[in-house]
Amino acid sequence: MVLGVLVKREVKAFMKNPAFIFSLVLIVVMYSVVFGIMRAGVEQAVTEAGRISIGVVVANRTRLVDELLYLLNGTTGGRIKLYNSLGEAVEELGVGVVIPSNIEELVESGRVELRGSVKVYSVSLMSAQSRLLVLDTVRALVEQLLPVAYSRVYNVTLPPSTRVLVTSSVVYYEREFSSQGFVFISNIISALPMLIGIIIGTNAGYATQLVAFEKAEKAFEMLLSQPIKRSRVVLAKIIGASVASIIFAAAYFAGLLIPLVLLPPPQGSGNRLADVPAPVGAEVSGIDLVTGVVVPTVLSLVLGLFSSGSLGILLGSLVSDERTAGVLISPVVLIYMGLGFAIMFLGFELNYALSVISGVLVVALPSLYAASLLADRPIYALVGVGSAVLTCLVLVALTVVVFNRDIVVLGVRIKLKKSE
Amino acid sequence: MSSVHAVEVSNLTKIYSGGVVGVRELSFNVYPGEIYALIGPNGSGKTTTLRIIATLIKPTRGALRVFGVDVAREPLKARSLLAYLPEEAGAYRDLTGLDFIRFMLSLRFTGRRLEEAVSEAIEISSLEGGLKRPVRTYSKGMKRLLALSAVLASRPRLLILDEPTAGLDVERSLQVRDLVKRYNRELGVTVLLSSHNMLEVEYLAHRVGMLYRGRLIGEGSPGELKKKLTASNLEEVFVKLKTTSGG
Repeated sequence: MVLGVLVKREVKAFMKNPAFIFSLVLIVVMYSVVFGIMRAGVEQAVTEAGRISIGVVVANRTRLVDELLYLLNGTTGGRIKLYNSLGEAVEELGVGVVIPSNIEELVESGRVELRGSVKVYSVSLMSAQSRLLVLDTVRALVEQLLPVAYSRVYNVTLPPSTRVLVTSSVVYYEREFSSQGFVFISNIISALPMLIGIIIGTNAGYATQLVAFEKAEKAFEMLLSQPIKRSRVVLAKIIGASVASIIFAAAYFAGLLIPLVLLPPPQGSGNRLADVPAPVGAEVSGIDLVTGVVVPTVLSLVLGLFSSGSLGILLGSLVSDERTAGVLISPVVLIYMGLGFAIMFLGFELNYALSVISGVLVVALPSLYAASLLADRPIYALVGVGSAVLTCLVLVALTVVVFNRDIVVLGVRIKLKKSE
Repeated sequence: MSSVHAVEVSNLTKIYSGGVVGVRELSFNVYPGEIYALIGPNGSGKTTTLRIIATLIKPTRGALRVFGVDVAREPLKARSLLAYLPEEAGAYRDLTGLDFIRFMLSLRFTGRRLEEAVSEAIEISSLEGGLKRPVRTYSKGMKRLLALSAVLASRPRLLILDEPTAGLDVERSLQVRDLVKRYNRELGVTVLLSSHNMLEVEYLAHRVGMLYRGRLIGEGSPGELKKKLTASNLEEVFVKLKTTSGG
């Protein structure tokens, strides 16, 4: 009975809080959009992998090659198309493979090396991997069908040990990279938004706490009446929250890395694309890890901490109690983190609009930066960094302005109309 | 009395968003070295007035000077002349009392002057061993004394106190009043305070300003006001003034 009354009171405290209602609406909209985009992206990748046609370049048409193509076409449901060059095949279909001129000799030696390439438009965990998976499927089919084709043409049964490998590359904005190098770098680039999102999302929460608790402790007005510039108060809070967030991030990543260091590495590699060297002429990773990944990550982190710190302080200063502040900042924290996860799976194509959005939200900035360097289009990185710097300055300035207004003391009061 | 007022409020109006009137056409002066008390019921505009003078909120209209400094134009300079103790002022829960004093005073002083001020605050607070404990373990009275000691040790020319003894027990209230009176008498600190407690005001204030619905309905020394309105205490004075002003 008493417990019921107590629980009713606690629940009512949330239900009567307009910020809670607002955050509910925001979070539903936000995650509907984010998961909608993620689902669409994954579906698109799966559908594409299931339907994509494969461009095949035949260097020397022999009976064996014709038989192999016939079997491949039948097995893939007519998805094999012939091209004169690998570049042409990749440009048109996104996936291309070259059957070498001396395939008969290679089959007899027990090791056949194909050359393949895929084209991607964005850098994400999914983009290159899904197409390379198609290439690996072709490799596996060739490995299975080649002994069949050989026995049909030459009436000789081959031992089942013939190994087929693919020397693969990835074409991204007219630049060719080794598949291993591209997958490695795109894995790093894709993971960065999630990591940045966690850190700066946490930072927004910490920054809000700093102001909200100070208000709750009744020390805020005393602080504001001291002979110090309000901009210094804001800056101190941003830096304070950032230090806490960096310590949090260090603990978080230590928690992530310790199992990786302690656990033994997995045995074997399921994908034989990794077993062969990069094709001649293809770049291994395309960008320098320090200037292309570390520097933009640190830059994004600094800008993100300042932007999210300002946003957190701004929200904390607009409300007059820590409960409302907590409820109000939660969606912001989740938006930063959610965006990080979404971008990790989806990636994005390089264009000015997305560069500006990446800069404004900061989370995707290191990905944008690295991707634009990979694509040899640094203008998008510049637009992104410029947008991030501008957003950061605007948010800090806005917070300082709010700190110089009555609202920082009085808080915003949202009143919901009572239904009679 | 000096020609420059400690506080000069002229036609001060504050209208909050939604049209709520904080104060309207409020004018009064506080002389250097005096204790001036603003009294009135809840919502009469006491806290609004003190917050405006402490540069926490801005007036909608009117002029306001602290020792000749225009508060709206030079808030930083005005803040260096005053110290403000808000209603229910507290302190950072994670700090010890001593750390809180040092933090607050280090926003104004450095080096030797800071150490002197910290020593002064420690003495004023009379919390002794308690200063090494976290503020979260303090009672309300201890917190108020801690905040007041940090404010007094900053040696402001103008001390603004919003309901300094509200919610405190008799012993702590007396301690606070004595400290305020001592700093006023011995160091010439001008005090502007607000209070519900008419007895406290009679004990402390040289002059009082009576606020009702954002307007000043009466002003003078407690003795003058009582004599003028043939009242036995300030509560009666307030009721009579309220009636004559149409409240």
